Formats: sequence, C-alpha cells, structure tokens
Amino acid sequence: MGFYEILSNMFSALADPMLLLYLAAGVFLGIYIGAIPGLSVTMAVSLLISFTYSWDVLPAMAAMVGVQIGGVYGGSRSAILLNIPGAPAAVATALDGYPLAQKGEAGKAIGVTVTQSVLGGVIGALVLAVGAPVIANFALSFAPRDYFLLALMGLMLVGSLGNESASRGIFAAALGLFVGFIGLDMVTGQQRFTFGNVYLMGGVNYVVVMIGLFGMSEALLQLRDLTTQPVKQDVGKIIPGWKSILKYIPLSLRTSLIGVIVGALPGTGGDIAALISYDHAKRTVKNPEVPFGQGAIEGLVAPESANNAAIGGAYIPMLTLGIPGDAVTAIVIGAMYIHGLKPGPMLMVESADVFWFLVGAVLFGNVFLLIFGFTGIKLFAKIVEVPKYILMPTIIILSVVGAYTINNSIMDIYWMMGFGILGYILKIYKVPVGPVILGVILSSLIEQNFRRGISTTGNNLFRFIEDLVSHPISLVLLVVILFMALSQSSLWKKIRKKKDVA
Amino acid sequence: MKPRKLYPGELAFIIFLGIISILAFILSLQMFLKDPSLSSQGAFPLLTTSVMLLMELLMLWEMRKCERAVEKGTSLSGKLTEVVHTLFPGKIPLIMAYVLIYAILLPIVGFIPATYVFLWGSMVTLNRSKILQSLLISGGVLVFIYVIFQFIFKVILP
Repeated sequence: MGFYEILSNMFSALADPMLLLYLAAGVFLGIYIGAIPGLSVTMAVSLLISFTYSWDVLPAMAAMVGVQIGGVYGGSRSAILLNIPGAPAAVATALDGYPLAQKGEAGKAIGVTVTQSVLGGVIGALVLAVGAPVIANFALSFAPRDYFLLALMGLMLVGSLGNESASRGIFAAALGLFVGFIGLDMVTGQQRFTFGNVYLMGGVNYVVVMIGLFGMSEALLQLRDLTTQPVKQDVGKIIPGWKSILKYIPLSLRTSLIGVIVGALPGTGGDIAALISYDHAKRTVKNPEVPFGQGAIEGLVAPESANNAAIGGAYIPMLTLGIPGDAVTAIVIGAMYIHGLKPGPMLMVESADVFWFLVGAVLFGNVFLLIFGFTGIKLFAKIVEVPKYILMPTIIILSVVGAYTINNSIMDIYWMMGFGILGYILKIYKVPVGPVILGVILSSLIEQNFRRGISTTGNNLFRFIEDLVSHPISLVLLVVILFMALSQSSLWKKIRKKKDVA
Repeated sequence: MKPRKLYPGELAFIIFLGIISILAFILSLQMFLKDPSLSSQGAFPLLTTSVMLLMELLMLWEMRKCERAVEKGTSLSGKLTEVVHTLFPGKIPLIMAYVLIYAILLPIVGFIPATYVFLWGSMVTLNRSKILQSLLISGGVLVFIYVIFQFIFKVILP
C-alpha cells in the first residue's frame, strides 16, 4: 500500500464533521482529566465505556481515542505546575518540568510539552498506519498457540514492570485471569466458580472491575491525605519559537521512535516509554544548557514525545493482534468487543473502515491537541485547585453511575464497590492492580487459544510443546517469553551485578 | 522485593490472598478431576491457580527478610488497632459507610435525593468548616452530573 493510499484512507475516515467534533471534545476533556491528579486516563476511558455503551461505534471510539491522547498529554500540566504527575506517563516530565516552574518558566515548559507531544503523537500515528497492515498480514499466519503465547507475553510484562516484586505482579495477573473464568464456560456452557449464583453466571463484568479498581479505589486512596495544598503558578508566554523546536528535532525523533516501539510491546505503555526515553536523553545529551533534573528542556522533550508516540505504538498490537499494549488499550479493546468488533488480524478485513478511522483518529487527535494544548492554561490552573473534599465525592458518584449504566443493575454497584475496596487495600499493600485488569480482559483470549491449541494435538502436552518449538513464529515468541522470564529472575540480576562490578 | 518495613497487616493480607488461592486451587482441581483432559474447562483454571499458589509462596519468601510492622509481643487487639489505623485512617471508614448507605438508598429514594445527600454529607465530613457552602456546591455538582449524563450521554440513571 502506497503512502498516498494510506493518507487518503485516514482522511476519508474522518470526513464526517460530527466525528471530528467527538474526537475534539475527547481531546479537550482528556487534557483536563489527565491534568487533575487522581483522575487517570485509565479511569477516564473506563468510565467513558459505560457512558458510550448505547452510542454507535465510531463516535464512541472517537471520544475514547480523544480522551486518551488528551489525557496522556494532560498529565504533564500538573507535573509541571504542581510537581504531581497527573498520569503515570508524566512522572519523568515532572523531573525537569517542575524545576522550570519554580523558576517561573512554567509557560515555556508547557509550550515545549505541547509541541513535543504533538510531534511524538504524529510520528506514532504514521508508524501505526504503515506498520499495522504489515503486522496484521503477518499475524494471519498465527496459530492459536501463537495467540496463547502472545497473551502470555502481555501478561508477563505487566506482571513484572514497575512493581517492587515480580511475584506480586504475576500473582495479580493470575488473580485477574481467575476472576475472568467466573461464569459460563464458553466451550461447554457449564458453570464455573459461580456457586449457583445467578448474577455470577454471566461472569463478572470487567468494566465493573475496572471502575472499581481504578475509579473508586483511587478516590479512596486520595482521601487518605487531605492536607496537600495546591501551589499557585503564573503562566505567561507559552508558544515556543521554530528555532527551539528545530533544535530538539533529532532528540525528539529518537525518543518518538523509542516511544512507538515500547508502546507496541504488549504490556508496556507511555509511562515506561517516557522513563526509558528520559534515560536515553540523559545518556546521549552530553551538554544540556541546564543540567538534567534542574529544568533541562531535553528532559521535557524526551518523555513527552515518547509517551504520545507510545499511543500509536500501543494501537499496533491492539488492532492487529488483539493484544493490549497497556492498561488503557486493554480497556479500548474491551470497548471494541462491546461494540461487536473483533480486534485482531481480521479487523482490517472485516471492519476496514473502523480500522482506518482509528488510525486517522490518532493522527487528527494530535492536531486537536496542538490547538487545545495552548489554550485554557489559566483556567486549568484553577481546576487543579479544586479541593479534594469536592473532587473525590464527585468521582465516587461518577463511579457509581458508571457501574450502574452498564446493565442498569444495582448489583453491579455493589460489585464495583467490592472491587474498589479490594483495589484500595491491594494498592496500600503494594500489590499492583494494573495486572489484575489485564488478567480479566486477557482471560478468555489466553484460555480459549490454549484449549484450541492443545486440542489440535489430541490433548497431548508433549506434542503441544513440540509444536511450540518446531514452528518458527511460535519458537520466536517462546524464546522472547523465556528471555523475559529469565531477565526478571533474581539469578540473572545477580549475574548482571557481578558483571557490572567486574 | 527489597527488604523494607512491612505495613501493619500486610503479612496477614498476603496470607489471606494465600487462603483464597488455596480455595480456588481446590475448586479448580475438583473441576479438572471431573474431566481430566488438557483442553477441558478445569485445566486452565488449575494452571492459573497453581501459579497463584506458587507466587503466594514466593511473596512470603520475599517478605521473610522484611522488618515486621508491629513489634513482637504486641497484644492481638493492639495489632488489630494498628492494622485498622493503617487501612482506614481519618475519615475513610465514614466515607466507605456513606457509599454503602448511598447504594442501599439509591433504589429506594431515587438518584437525585440520594446523590445530593451523599455529596453534601461527604463534603461536610471531609471539610467541616464549609457546611453551608457545601450545600450549594453539592447542588451544583449534582446538576452538572445530571445534565451531562441524562441529556448529553443519554444514559439511564439509577
């Protein structure tokens, strides 16, 4: 497919002005949601699923993509102004953004983050447009066992990254898988772990789990400390000159590519992309004007271009393989299933319009980001000052309404509350909740493909293993998984340490 | 996991997760034994719960070097108080109770009154100095939520 054809596909998908409006509204909302500490993009998108339940596919997806793009950028605003990253992807942004704000240069910092986010986002969208069809084509030759391995890979990465111990992450993922088993078995139709309960027969709705784990529990967690007071900031001139944008182009190209690749790996998203890029900038930029950590512009360029590029990256495995690239895309996959779409290699064949619409939405979302990113900064400074005693009860109400609207069932509210309290306790005791939700969502994909894969071998485990090592695609995936498992083991870390010392 | 000081109740919670894992494992095993083939409905749950058990053991193993949160010899009631303080400090238990009452009241008195009372009650609980102001703010928030969801998103409210 030629470049011109790709471009025209993306543009034609967005010819409807109403859809553009939904996308724009999503970006706008996303910026504010992402910017308010305690309101995460994951939470926003999961709440959005329940509210867009009855909408048509395209407006719902437009709003969701918009919120995601706006939200990932929005997190940087509170990182700069308050030193509170509004989203995990903005953790690295705070390292140099806040020192700039302390010097009264918050406006400059915000200007850099907007332009870099847009640049990264556009690069991500282009890579998505070019790369996704190739990968989807390739993925058509995937057997069930390969999907099983891919889903396993997704689970493994999330289970072990960014947590204090791999065992806790993997436990959380397994717990999520188990929750996903509850209900009627898809193959035999028999009840599993329902204890005869009618409500459980339909399975635990993962949107309910999501709202509980991310919305309700986060609100409760924020209420533990009511004393943190917002700091007031002045924001003046924000639009950076062409010279300063061009100056950082080489770095932003490198970090955008890092962002796309990290985003495309199953289980890793903008937060990790941002941290890796920050580290990359720190190692490769020898003489920054200001040292890193004290307000280096490079320290903003790298994470901000990377985390928005990671969105396009994360959509590659999501649209072509049906594997989430991070927690947010996991939720978007959930939304696609709700609307009767099947993310995977057949998506481009069966629903090509939706596929290209999503690619176009990622691209145009960034155009809206460029417009909205420079506006409303003064108003924003006011919104982040909304005290917790008003914000948190409001979030709780939003969670309740969100849980209820899925099936109009009061029972769902109780389940949401139960998962909210569980998530709250898990977070306090440092058991990550992200893997739980990924487990719930990947549960049926991983199990069905395992069962399909093994039944083609006549339920023979040895032949299944033989299949895994004798087919090239399976073998490559298996080696990657083994390498991931090995590199996270304590033995490997010990060897690395010894090498470093030597 | 780097050895750090455990939070009060952390060990108990991890053990609780272990008990859940054992129960889940037994249920999966029973299901698997009914149809002991690898593509049966019990096979994958059995595998998953085995991983849960294994990770549970690993978590406990990793915690062995960590400093205990509560000193040895503390009475059971002392331990319990500390756990409750860690998990539910300040006004958290009150807010949780409000949410529960809200969920119970919702189908009885309807969305608007229940939500208004919940919002006002929790705002006043969290900030006692703003009783009258909270009356207005919770009204504003309610109108905002109602308008957005009822008229823009067109969802059915409880």
